[in-house]
Amino acid sequence: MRKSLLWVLAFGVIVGVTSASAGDQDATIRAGGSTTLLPIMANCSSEFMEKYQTWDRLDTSLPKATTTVFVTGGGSGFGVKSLLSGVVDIGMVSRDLKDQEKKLLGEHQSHLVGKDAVAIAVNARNPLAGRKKGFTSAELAAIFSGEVKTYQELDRNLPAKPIVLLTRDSGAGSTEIFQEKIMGEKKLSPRALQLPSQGALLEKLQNNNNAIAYISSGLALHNKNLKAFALENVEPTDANVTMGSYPLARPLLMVVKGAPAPTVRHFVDYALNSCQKIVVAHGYVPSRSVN
Amino acid sequence: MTVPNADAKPFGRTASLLSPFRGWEDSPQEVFARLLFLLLLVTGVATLLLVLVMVAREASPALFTGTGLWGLLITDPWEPLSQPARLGVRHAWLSTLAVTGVALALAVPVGFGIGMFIAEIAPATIKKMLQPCLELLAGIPSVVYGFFGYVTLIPWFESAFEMATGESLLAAGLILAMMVLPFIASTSAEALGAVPRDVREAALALGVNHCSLTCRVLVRHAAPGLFAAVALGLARALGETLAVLMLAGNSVAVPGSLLDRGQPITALIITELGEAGVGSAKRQALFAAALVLMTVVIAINVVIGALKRRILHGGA
Repeated sequence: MRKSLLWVLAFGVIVGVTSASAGDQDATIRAGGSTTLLPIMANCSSEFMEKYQTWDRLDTSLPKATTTVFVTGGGSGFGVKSLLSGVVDIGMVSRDLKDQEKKLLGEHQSHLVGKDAVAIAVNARNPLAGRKKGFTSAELAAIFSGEVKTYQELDRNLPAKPIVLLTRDSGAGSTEIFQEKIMGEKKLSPRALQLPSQGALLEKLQNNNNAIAYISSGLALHNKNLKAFALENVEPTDANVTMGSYPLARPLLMVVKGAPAPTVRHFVDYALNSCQKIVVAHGYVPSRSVN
Repeated sequence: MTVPNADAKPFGRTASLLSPFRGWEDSPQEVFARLLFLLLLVTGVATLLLVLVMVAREASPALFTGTGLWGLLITDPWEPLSQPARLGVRHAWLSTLAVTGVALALAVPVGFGIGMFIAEIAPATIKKMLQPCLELLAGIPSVVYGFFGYVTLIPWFESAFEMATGESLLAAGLILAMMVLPFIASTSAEALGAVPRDVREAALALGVNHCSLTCRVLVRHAAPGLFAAVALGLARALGETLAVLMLAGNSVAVPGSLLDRGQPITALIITELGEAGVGSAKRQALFAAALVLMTVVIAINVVIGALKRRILHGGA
């Protein structure tokens, strides 16, 4: 355990530090956990460190020490565990906290940085585009498990072309949400193409007229060539996702335990406000509207 | 033909692993140099051994617990999300087999043909142009081949075979054939070109024509090199990751034909390893898949080595 921790910290040094110097341990913030949040927080922290070189520039009551924010990966579970053991000041968690975790944490605050929503989408030349407004969960489960194989089986007026399923790999967050909230006990069809990244998925979806995919809502909504579908009559718009009415979404959280130090409080504030554009840039839904 | 004497003593001493420690009467520089080179050799060989040991150690739980090797290779499907997770790699090794088979079936005859052309037929000027071209082809990064296949082959497959999506084992195999071709061609050209001049002249003096000279004399003499060419191409094809990841479709269904999608072992590993936690059953299964791949590569090298020896002794 200690060894793996050491590795994670070593990784964090590479990701997060631009100007660390020895001796200002108290002014160092450590954040760790979800790999979904990792790129957002890494960018956010380097922007923060660049803007406020020393803590006293941010707040005169703080020491004149170099601003240092370590950001490490490890996964959501690791984020909570490290927060409990005091290894990190901010736990990055890309799902709802479990009841047991809440109990263990005791007094804590979880701040919503953004949401990762998954939209069902096809490209504009797909037979379904313009024909269908939305799906029910049961319809989607039948399509993605491979029970419904052609477009004709969905609608008799459509061509008998096979439905090409585009998915992410089994470890991806979007697959996790989709499996849990749509598929339930059913399995994703083994014939589905597994794309290694959201970018590759977007590329393939744009180029294949027979394909249907679950993809980050940010990517689907901001692309003219794609058509995103409503799920149970709720459109995957940013507003619906933030409000919580669109079901295929998970929160991206920064969790702090007890009463956070002023430095941690300042950084969380910065992440929740100035870093929202970074959240959008990564294809996620911001928790506050970005202008 | 002169065979180098195996008992020849370099620098007048018996060469063995212990030789760096002998001959202390030599100058310290020489002893130091010998020790240094021994160290380099040991480092190189040890890396291979350590990789093998490490992969085997990580893989062993997947081989000896649960459904074991049989389940891993034959019976289990790849369903990491089901409860409990089922982690069989049958679809992966079948895909690897199919893709590599297609690649070698195309690249070996064409590669040998190019090799013979360069070594025997081509005029010196063309030879001078061809060799660097092959080297350049061999040097193109695999992602470029993959992307090339992705924008050319995939749409072509979709229109030619009326496929819903063009990713298939055949598409991956075709690009892979292009990738291994320069290795096979240049290695076989070298092997044929290295056949001693006196063998060639002796055959010609006996009045054989160019065709039988090439087919019956040169090929036989160059056999070890030609086997090396195939081995090189095979190892490259088995280990290729990015191009097959982009073109084979990365689907976990067991492929039934070459036009089906598949997921070669390398693609399986690169797709899943990033999110497989240390010590998890998934990671162990992935390492087991890697071990299978390494075992196959080593076994093929051993077999080709044995064949090479047999042909050399048979032909001598």
